[in-house]
Amino acid sequence: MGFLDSILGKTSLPEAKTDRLFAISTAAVTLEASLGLKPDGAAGVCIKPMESSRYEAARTEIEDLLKLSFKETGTLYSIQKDEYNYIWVVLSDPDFDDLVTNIQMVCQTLMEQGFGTQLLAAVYRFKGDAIVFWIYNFKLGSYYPFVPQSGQKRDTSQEFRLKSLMEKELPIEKDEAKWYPMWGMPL
Amino acid sequence: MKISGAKVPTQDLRKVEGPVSALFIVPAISGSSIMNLFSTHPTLEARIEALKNIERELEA
Repeated sequence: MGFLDSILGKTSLPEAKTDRLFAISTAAVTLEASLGLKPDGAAGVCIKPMESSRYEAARTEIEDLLKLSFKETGTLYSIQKDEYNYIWVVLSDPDFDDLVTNIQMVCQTLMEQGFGTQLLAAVYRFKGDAIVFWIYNFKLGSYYPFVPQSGQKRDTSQEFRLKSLMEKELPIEKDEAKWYPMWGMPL
Repeated sequence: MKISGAKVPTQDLRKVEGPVSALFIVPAISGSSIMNLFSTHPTLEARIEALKNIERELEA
């Protein structure tokens, strides 16, 4: 925000940063080869709540896109609301590249239709000894690991380990105070 | 390197990023044009945006 903007009280929401979202594609190879973490066939995009007319417009856009995509890649999808009234586009496909491509397309379409500021996070699920989520925060433009345990606890030592092993390949958020968890995700 | 779990938050991202407050205050001066500095009421756009926010809050 510029100096004049702050004097005049002009506020603008920051646009989503999607440029580093794609980095998970190559990082997945290392995750599997050196850490035994495999893509678990599921990914999702979390979108902030909006009023019903805009929601219907966004939903139609995404559905049209994903119906077409299903014919090409066989990626299954569902669109649902969570307990916070956030919207989730959940994709499932055993082929990780198809998942990444489809997540990228959903985000691209939402940005083009003017929903860029509504994008909250993209999430990829991995599986090793435990379930590991890589959360991409669109406001920060970076990833962070989330390893949930029962009772809304998280395995922070495992998360720190993942960070130190992956920070060369994946744009990981440096400020751990911003590694906000997402409990009970629909994927 | 210090390894400590103290800094990692436990509050959900959707709670942190959620609607900030029910008392959403629309700035009277949006600064989109110099005329706004002299206007006594918010612009039509600001009013529509405020109504949208209220609708969203009510639905939430």
